Amino acid sequence: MDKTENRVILNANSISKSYGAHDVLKDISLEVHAGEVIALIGPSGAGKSTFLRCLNYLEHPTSGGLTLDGEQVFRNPLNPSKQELVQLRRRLGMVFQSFNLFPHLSVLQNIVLAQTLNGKRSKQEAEEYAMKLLTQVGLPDKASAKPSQCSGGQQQRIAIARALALDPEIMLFDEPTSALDPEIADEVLKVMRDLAETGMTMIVVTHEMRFAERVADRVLLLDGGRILEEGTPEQVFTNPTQERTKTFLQAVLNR
Amino acid sequence: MIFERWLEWLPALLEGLGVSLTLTACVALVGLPLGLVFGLLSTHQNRPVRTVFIVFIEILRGIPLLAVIYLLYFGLPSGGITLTAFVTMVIAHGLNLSAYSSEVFRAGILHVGPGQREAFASLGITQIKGFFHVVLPQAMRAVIGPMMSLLIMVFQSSSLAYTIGVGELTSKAFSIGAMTFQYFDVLALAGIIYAVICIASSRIASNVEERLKTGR
Amino acid sequence: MNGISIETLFSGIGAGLSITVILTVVSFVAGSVLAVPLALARTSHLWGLRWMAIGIIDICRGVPPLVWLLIIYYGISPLIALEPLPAALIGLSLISGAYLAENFRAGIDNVHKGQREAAMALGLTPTHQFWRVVAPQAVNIAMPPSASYAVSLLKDSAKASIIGVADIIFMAQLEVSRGAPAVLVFSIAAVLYLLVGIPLSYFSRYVDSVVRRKVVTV
Repeated sequence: MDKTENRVILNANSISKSYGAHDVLKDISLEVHAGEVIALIGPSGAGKSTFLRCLNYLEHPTSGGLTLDGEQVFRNPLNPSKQELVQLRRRLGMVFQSFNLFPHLSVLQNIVLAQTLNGKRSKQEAEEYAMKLLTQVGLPDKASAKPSQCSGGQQQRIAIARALALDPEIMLFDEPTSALDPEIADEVLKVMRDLAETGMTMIVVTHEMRFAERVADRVLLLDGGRILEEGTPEQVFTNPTQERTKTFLQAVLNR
Repeated sequence: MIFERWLEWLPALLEGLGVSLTLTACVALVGLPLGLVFGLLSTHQNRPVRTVFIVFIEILRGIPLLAVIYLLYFGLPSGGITLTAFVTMVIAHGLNLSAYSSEVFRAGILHVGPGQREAFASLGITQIKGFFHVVLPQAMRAVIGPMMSLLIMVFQSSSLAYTIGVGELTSKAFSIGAMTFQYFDVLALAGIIYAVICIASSRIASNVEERLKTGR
Repeated sequence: MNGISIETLFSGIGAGLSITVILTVVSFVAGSVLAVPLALARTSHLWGLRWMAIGIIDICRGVPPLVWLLIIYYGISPLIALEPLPAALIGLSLISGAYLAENFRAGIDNVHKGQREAAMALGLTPTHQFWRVVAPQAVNIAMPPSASYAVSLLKDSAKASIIGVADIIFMAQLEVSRGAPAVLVFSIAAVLYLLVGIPLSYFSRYVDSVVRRKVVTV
């Protein structure tokens, strides 16, 4: 299915990010269509996570801007207001490499918290929705447990449910399985695959090449802060145009 | 106006400061080596020995310094021992410091894992040499920070010597206050002197700690 | 001994126990209350507020407790006729406030960065990020050092006797002035401090072990 025919849901325009003299991101632009699953791959330090974090402004780009659903997200992209930031982040969901579940709250409360504080649902509705999502990720029995009582894979699935609870337009995944053992990673990847099949727009920074190959609609290879290679999984994995891509893929796929 | 009086009182207060600093140094000279011994004994392999010292340290740490000062100051004379107030203070405070510093040394020694002991044992180095050349240098790095905090506290607690008539900074300030009835002004100046020294020492101490962590 | 039994000594000195406990508890509670705005100011983005907080904390901690008590009792008292006990409570509360503020600040700083990021990513307002995610965890981190501070506050309270507060040490001095043997009297005083302090110490270590299981730190 060629999703590039769908409407453009997110447009990242010429995103650059520098830390002092060090340029981490150099003029990256990306058009994301509704329902697309985009995989960001590349060597460490290439700027993949930084770029992802620029999309929900956990990092502020040094230049460039975002449009969501055709509208400019910020009046002044280089100096967004606190309100604008909050509004943006309520439309994008993020899943972190280190899960970042709230240890002082139960699993259910983790998923409920933002729903009620953001005024999205009443406590009752939020709890019902949270249970629905927990069931969706396969962990309904963990509702009253504390995060510390859950395994890594379970915590990550809960983190996905927590992000989904706000009905985001796009889900951002920052190396979601890098901190997990391979067998455990699979349970998380399965949830992500199921999510993709429901039509969720997803941008995933990952080292899991099989996931990128099978689930992604588009693969972007970042290197040294730039997009080195871009295309469908078939194009990037079987017929890369750049030498660097070939060397990277050889090194990675031979593991 | 207040500053003129401050300048007037400064020489006497600085004299008192000198006594406070001397006191601090003497207390450190007594308390730190003693603390090292206690710290070592509290990690001894022999369980009864270890327990005795752990209990002893707990007790010493659990008693206010003031109680120890009074106990020695008022108690020793009846035992036939008369010491100057200064010496009494050094002994009392030294004991107190030994209890606190023993904990720091203990943590520092334990911080150097048993692997180190196995390492030098397998190289044929004796226990004592191994301790001084392998364990202690590494323990020192962990110990410097907390130790400097303890010394700053010793300097602050030297003010308690006022209660037994040692002419340190607080006593000097208080007697000027008693004479002029301008307690607030003179005690404030004394307070500032203490604060400046403590704050500066703290900053230097954390600077040194940072260097040690990142440097070697 | 001249007819003074250990029991009478114990009850005589023990009369100061309640004052010692009051000094410790009230100062700790008042200090905790003071510490919250101080810690918030200390971690504020506003440069002026932050430096004012640093100044207050440094000065409160840099001046020895005894000097504080003397300043408040002898220095301020002429203006507002303060009794020894209130003066001691004010002094010890100020000092506790400064120490506890540092504990709270360290607690806030040591909450894992990812926690705040997760809260941000969920679109929580900065206020909610702090009060619902960071602060609860900061309190957990701050509890062990604060519990052990309570133990040292117990011992610091003895300084109040110097400005005339009728605590354990003061009552002990009273007995000595009445002719009781000093070593015995101050040993009893020491025992009383240990009776309160050692359980408090154990409680503090218990708090430490409970909290260790609950936090995600830097």
